[in-house]
Parts: sequence; C-alpha cells; structure tokens
Amino acid sequence: MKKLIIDTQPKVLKSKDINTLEFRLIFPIKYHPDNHFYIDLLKLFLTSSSYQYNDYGLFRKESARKTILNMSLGTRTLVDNTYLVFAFSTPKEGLIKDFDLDSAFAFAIDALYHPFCENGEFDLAKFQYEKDYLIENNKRHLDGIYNSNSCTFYEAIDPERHLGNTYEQDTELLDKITPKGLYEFYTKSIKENPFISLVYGDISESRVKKLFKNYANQEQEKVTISTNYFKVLPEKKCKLKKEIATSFSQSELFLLYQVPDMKESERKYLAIIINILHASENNLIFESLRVKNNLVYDVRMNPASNRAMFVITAFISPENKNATKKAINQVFKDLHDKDYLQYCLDKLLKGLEVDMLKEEDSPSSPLNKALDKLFNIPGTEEVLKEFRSVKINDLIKFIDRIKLTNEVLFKGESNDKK
Amino acid sequence: MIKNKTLILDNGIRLVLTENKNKNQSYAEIIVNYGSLNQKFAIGKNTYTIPEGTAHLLEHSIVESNIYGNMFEHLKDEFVAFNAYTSGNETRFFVSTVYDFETHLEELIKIVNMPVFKDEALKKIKLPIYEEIKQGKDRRNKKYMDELNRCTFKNFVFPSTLGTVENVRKINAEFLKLVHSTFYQPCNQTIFLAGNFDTKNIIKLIEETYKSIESEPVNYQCLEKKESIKVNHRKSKIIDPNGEELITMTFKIDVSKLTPKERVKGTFYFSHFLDYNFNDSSKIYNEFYEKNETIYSIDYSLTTKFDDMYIIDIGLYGKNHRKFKKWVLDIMKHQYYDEEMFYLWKKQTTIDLIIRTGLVMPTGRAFLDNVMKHGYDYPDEVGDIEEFSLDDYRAFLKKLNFKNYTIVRSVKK
Repeated sequence: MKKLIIDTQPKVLKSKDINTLEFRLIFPIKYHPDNHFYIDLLKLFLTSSSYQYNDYGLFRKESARKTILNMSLGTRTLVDNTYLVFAFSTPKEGLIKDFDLDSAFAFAIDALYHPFCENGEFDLAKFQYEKDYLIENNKRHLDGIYNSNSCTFYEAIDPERHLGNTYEQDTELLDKITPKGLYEFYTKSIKENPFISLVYGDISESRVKKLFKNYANQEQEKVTISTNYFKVLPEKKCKLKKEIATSFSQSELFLLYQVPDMKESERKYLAIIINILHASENNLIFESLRVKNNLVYDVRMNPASNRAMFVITAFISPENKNATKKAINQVFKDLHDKDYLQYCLDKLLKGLEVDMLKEEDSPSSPLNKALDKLFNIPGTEEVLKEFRSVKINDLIKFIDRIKLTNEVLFKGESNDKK
Repeated sequence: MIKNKTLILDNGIRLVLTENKNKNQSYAEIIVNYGSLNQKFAIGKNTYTIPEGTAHLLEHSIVESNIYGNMFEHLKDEFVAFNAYTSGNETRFFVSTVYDFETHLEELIKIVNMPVFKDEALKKIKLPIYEEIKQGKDRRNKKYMDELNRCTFKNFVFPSTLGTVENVRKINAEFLKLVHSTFYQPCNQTIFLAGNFDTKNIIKLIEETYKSIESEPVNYQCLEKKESIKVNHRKSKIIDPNGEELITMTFKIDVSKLTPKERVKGTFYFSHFLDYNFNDSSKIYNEFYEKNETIYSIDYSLTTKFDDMYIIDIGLYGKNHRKFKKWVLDIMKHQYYDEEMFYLWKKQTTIDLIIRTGLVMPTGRAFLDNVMKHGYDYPDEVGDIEEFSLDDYRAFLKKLNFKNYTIVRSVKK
C-alpha cells in the first residue's frame, strides 16, 4: 500500500497572471459506492446555506456582498480514494475597492464549518427538499438512452459495485439517508477530517497563513493518505442476453474489454492503447467506424486503465453489429504491425507535447498541475516521460492480452429502409 | 495583450478578430448565414423549396467530400481540432491548432468554398446522418419543444435541422450544389479568429485565398417572410401520460427600435432581471416549492434567433400552471427589483468582465456575439458596465412590450 504524508500548512502558488484568488480545501476520504448521495446532499447544503444564513436568498445576498465569485464542493475519485474539494474564489486584493478578503474568507469557511443544522442533524425541511430533488433526478436519469442502457450494462458487469451502485441500490440508499446520518457523514468527512489546502493567485504566503490561522486553523500537522490508484475490475460474465429490446430509436452496442491479469506496472501499456483507439491524435475507432466504414454517427469510449478495462459504445443499426465488431477487430489486428504501431505511438507522444502547449494557455493550468502533484497523480509531462520509455514489442505482446469479455446490443425501435 | 478588431473585406466577408500573440493556440471559425430556417428562395423567376435536412447534409458533405477528400482524414496527422455544426440560422466550421495556423485556415476557407458534389459520395455521407436522425428522436421532450416552436413562430415552420430519413434520401448532388452556390457566397460569411496570429498578415492571407477561389455571384431572394413579433398561437397543451408536467411561457420582445449598443446593454439587464425574479431565492420559486408544486429550479433564458427581437423562455417542471402564468405575467408587468441586489449584480458583472479581459476565447466569443447578434462593432468594456444604473435599468425595461407571449403546457391527463 503506497502512502503519502502531506503537511496541512496552506500551500501558496503565487501568480500575477490571474485577477482572482482560488482557494482549495481538500478532504481525503475512503471511497465507498454509498458515499455519493451523501456528498450530493452536502454539496446542496454547504454551497447554498449556513447556520447564520439559512435561507438561500439571504445566503446569496451575503455571498454577493462579500464578493465570493463562486463556491463549490466537488469530488475526485481514484479507485480507493475520494477527495472532497471545497473550492471558492474571490477577487485579488486591490482589484476593486471596498473588497475585504478577511471577511470573504471567513464567510466561506463559516459556510463549510457551520452548516444549517442543529442538535447533530441537518435542518429537516431543507434536507427533505434537497433529497426529494435527488430522488426525482435519479428517476429522470433512467429515462434517457445514455443512462438507461448504461445502468443496465454496468449493473450486469459489476455486481460488486467497484464502479458504483446500481440504480436500485441508489434508490434504496437515498430512501435511508436521514438528517442525522448526513450529519454523521459530514462530521467524519469534513468537520473532524483534516484538510490539505492550496491557494493560487497574487497573494503572499504570510497573508495566506494569517487567513487560515484566524479562520480555519487546524491542529493536525500532517495527513497520511494512501495513493493506491489501481485496482483491476474482476472479470465477470454478465447474465444479460446478447440482444435486449428497448423503446429508444437508436440501438447501442456495448463492448467491454479487460486485461484481467494486468499488473499496475503495465498500466502505461493499456493507457497507450486506449489513447490510440480514442484520443484525437489517432482516434482509430472513430476513423474505422465512421470515416472509413460509415457505420456510426456516434461512438464513445469509457476508459479506465486504473481498472484494467475500457468500454466502447457505438450507436449503430442492428444489422451492422457484426460489421462493427469486425471493423474494431481489424483495428486491433492492424496494431500488430510494428511500423504502424510505432507511427501511432509517435503521434500520441507528439499529441501530448501539443497538450502541454495548450495547457500553458490556460490560467487554471498551474493550479490543476499543483493539485495533481500534491496527490502523486501524474500530469501530462510525467505521462509523456513514461510513455516515451515504452518498447513497441512489449506493447504488441500486451495487445494480445486484451480480451473482449462482454457485449450487449440494446436494440432500438427504428427500422429504416436504406 | 488582447487586440479586438472587426472589419468587412471588399468581397463582403465580415472578419471578427481577437488577437493575442502570447498564446500557443489559434482558433478559426467560418460562420455561414445559412441554416435550417432557410426554406425557400428564388433565382430570377425560378422558385426553390429547400427540404428539411438540406443545410445539415450540406455541412456533412463539405466536411467529408471536398478538394482534400474527407477533412477528418486529411487532418488526422496534423494535431488540429476540427468540426462543424448546423443550426436554424447558420452553419459553422472551425479549426483549432498550435502549429501551422495559416495553412489550416487556408484549408478551412477552401473546403467551405470549394466543395465537391457527387451522388456516389453522397450515398455514403448520408449513412451516419440516418443514425444521427435516430439520435434526435431519443432527445427528451422533443414533441414538447416542437410544439413550443410551432406556437412561438408565426412565419416559420420550425423544421428539424436533421430532417427525416425520407427527405435526406431524396436530396441529390445537383441540388446541394445549387444551394451552396446561392447561400455560401462570401457576403454571407463571417470569419472569427482568436489566439496567436498577426492581424495584418492574416487579413492579407484571407483576401488572397478568396481571390484564388473562382465563384460567380448569385442574385437570389430569400422568400421567407420576416418573422413577426406576434406569436403564432397564444396557448397549447400536450397530453402525455408518460411525460412530465411542464409549462413554458415564451415572450417575443421587439428591440427593433433599440440601437446596437442598447441591444447589448439589454442582454446584460435581462440577465439580471431574469435571475433576480426567477432564481431559487425568488418569490415565485418559493411560492411553488413551499406548496410542493415543484422541486426543480425555474428555467429561464434569453436568445436572439432573429435580429430585431429577444426571445425569452421561462419554464417550470411542476403543477398549478394557472398560478405560474399569473405570477409570471405579474412579474413582467411590475418588473420587481431590489436596489442592493442590482448594485451587487453590477459589481459582480464588472469583476467578471475584468477577469474575462485576460482570456482570449471568452473575450472573442462575447465580441463575436456583439457584432453578429446585435450589430455592435465593439467588445464589452468595464466603462459600459459602470454606466449602468438602477434608474436606467428600470426605464429600459419599461419601454419594452411584454404582451407577445405564448404558453405551452404538457400534462399527464
């Protein structure tokens, strides 16, 4: 188990290139599929109310008075870790007159640590309102083709919920969440959980330290997190039929590819293959299915090299199912040609260099890179270095280990004569 | 340092340029004033009806059958982002790259203006479009949106941009060529550039590229009537036992007498008006939420599909449509405001603009909107926002007419 020890002193990324101050407070928690609705509810509470300003209108007004430009609670999940990211931004000091950074910072921290609750429970009326919204929204998602087919497929290939809950589990879970249960989750994940912080913008280290000391002081000096970002999804033969009728117009073909015996050290090979198949530099699947063979308008990939898998979904006419599979198989066959594979790899590497140039254009890029570095998540530069070390013969051997483990065609109703 | 400039070339092309030599990327977009709303035209004594789906098929044809072959194929080794899309009023083609921008801009101009039309190639091009048409059918609330368009627009039968499989199958290369030569003339095009380029050199390149393209001007007439400020039907109801309870009120607001600068100002003022009166902290929202008549936020938006009007949509997923109508009309009549909220919004807008001034694409897009949608040839300035006042805001809203509206509802029974 890889571990990282990070100190909780606020880190400052000084930059005169932006006119805002970006604050990030990151709370590491252990991933569990049941967490996500708790997090969704917390998002709705913490960014729209506080104990002092428990009405949304009042909260908004006060937020505007303090010149909080935006406030959010986001998540980033990497296998066994979820990072809750409380983010808010303000103008930099001196940008506009009458802006009080202390007051703005205190307001945001107050929203985080003094939410709308009492006696160990979140306010019932607001809780019920937000929960009803999530229940209704959850139901709604299932009506659309993209979620409906996808939910059915992932439930079948991942009954142990490594990738998340099934729809039924989510519905049961939502039903069980109570204001008290939500408060317990909040206490464990935020209130009593030490955070790691990063501030980006035109501000001095001493100023930042003073802000945190006055309004967000923490005693714990270090946080230990596991950085295990790799776990193979177990191979499962899904019990679905190979063809399932739906009431949608389109038909959608799902193809799950896995490397069940993959080791973490081999992750770079799968990441390269996924990239060659799907990213814009090569985009071999799109090129084959759309450009060369006119079999699709839309083809997508759900890449997950950290799970040793990827899923291709293609919107096709049912009679083109075999032609589609054949075209994809041909793509894999072609990659056994060393010269061709080298050509694709060279393009991928060049594409990463281009991405680095594009990243330089983005003012938020230094912040994103700093966050990745903090948690040992490789950025574009690290990925490029790693990919450059790969040998073609090893890549070809790896391709042979990629297995098509499951396929399902969700057959739509449209029956066009061509 | 960002430099904004707009001009019209001798051949009629409008250029909108947002230059910043400190960036690595460059972006070019060609916008043709032709889309699915163009349904009938005349050349001399001949009249032509354009079937649904033509504009979209033409877009695909330009991308997939041009002097370079298929543009996706042609650019695959070049690290260029490329795509195109069609809407009611226009068709857009864009490239974005960090290398060889001038080369790819030239290619973009050529493919838009020098397509190759062959019936054999068209058969293949149509195949993914049939799939795309199916995708359109799976869109949520399609029937409802179609009905909303039917009730809102008097002089346009709002078509499906994608068309139907039957229509698309019938369109041939010769007809596409005719439509292209009519509507894709330089005077109907705008080129938007943002990022790293030299303004002087790029203008020269564009002029020379167009000079190298042979084209005969075509004298044509659009036969669509100008869209009326009046709605087509005052109200309509759809019964969908499997759908959701939903109501939308769409207002058509005449802005033909406003100057271009006032129209731009109007979009700012309306963003505050709609937000203040319909967001989750508004009185109307609280009224519905407290009575359990909705759990979703009220949807609101302002669009400018047609030159001389704003189209405002206000919608609610929920029950008690009669009450919703009453409340919305009351808000439009009394135009409620809060002085402090207005000035807080003004402060926020000023800050947003200062932040945006350092960002190429947001600055460029806003500038493009000013030029194309409002006829205002200048980017937004902090000074413009500083001129906003509550009195001006109230006076602005007061002079507008909110009487042209339609109400479309979806009910379960």
